[in-house]
Amino acid sequence: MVLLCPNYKGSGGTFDAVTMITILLLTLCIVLLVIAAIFVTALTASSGDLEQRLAMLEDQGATTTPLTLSPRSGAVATGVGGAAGRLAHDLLGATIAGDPVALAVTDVDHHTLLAFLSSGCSSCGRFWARLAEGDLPDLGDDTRLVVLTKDAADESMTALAPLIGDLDVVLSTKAWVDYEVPGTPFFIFVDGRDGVVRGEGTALGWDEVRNLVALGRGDASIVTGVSTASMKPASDAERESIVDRVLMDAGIFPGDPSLYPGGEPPDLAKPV
Amino acid sequence: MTTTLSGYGVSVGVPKGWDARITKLDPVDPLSQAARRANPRIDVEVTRPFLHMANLPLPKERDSFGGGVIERMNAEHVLVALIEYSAECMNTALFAKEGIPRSLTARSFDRRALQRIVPGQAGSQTFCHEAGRPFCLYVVVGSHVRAGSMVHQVNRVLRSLSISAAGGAG
Repeated sequence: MVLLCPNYKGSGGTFDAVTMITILLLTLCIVLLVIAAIFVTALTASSGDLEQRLAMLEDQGATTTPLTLSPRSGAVATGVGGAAGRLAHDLLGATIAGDPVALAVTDVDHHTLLAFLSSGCSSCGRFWARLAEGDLPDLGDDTRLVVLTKDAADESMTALAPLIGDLDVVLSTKAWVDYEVPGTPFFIFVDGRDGVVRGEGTALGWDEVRNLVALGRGDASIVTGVSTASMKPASDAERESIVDRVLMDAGIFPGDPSLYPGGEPPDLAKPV
Repeated sequence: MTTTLSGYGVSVGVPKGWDARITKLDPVDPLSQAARRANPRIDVEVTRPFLHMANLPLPKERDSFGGGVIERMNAEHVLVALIEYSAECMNTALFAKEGIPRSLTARSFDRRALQRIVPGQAGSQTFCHEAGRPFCLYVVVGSHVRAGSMVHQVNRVLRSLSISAAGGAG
């Protein structure tokens, strides 16, 4: 203080008082600045902590969701009701006549659409009917359609035979196990070059199947009359995929009466 | 890793990227089959299986010598067909050679050996018998010029081939 006020004793009283007031004000300002600095620092630290806690909460939320959406390991939801990214499997089975069949799905230069159908599911009826009429979906030249049912031991051959007719159908329970098929009808689109599933899901008609294929290929051109701009955004498709999976996990498949307001599924005789 | 396909007394390793089908056609005359069921001594038409393997998709409808497939082959494609003949052929000169070949060379292929001539393609035909069963091994390569580079794929398949006496007559 003596150093700061060298004239304290020898100078006039008024000057000394002004000096003192100035010094006090300066000191007060410095104290206020220090307090403000501490406050700002504390606020910044608190905000960081808050962000950290929010991030932790988000992480916890992602890992502890009560919904089991997909039992498939490494599956990524994409496309219309689809999980993609997992490895595909080649097919081994038999025809309805008992002739052995092995079909390559991986390490090939074409795509494959696997259509899992059964004789007992009512929603498969329209697919069987359309297939029997030779009405196959236009999937593009590079996509092969393979229709699969379970083995003779797991299917009703009596019911299946008239449905199949001259169709090329592969009976392979192994394929159902390999692809973890939850029920019928179920469609899986495989990229033969990469050997991975590009999309999968259930459907009520060929239009939906074509959408699945188009999304799996990232190509809307095969969806007749539907441009890329008018297709569902990825978020919508993903939401639809999640809903499909939750329903299928609960045992509700396309055509289930509980899905329709009056409990009546749409008229299956009408073309889709 | 290969898959093994078995049926009608034939077993074969299927390489990655290949289709394989063992097919036995229905007899042309179903009435004769009904007659045979009533009396097994009745001599009726008996169909034999044929094996097709190819590094391209095999459709359901195929002729035993590759009709329905060879038209769709490009220069990279290979078709291996093993066609079984009826038991009466066993004692004929055509099937006198013992054992299905397990190794072919580029020289095994000839454009004139094709059952149906397709420009660029070449074929190899071997009539033989194995395990008491008469066969024709018919192989088609999509490009005669490149047969040498494709024959190793064929030989890999042939080496995995196994025939048992229990055939697929019926």
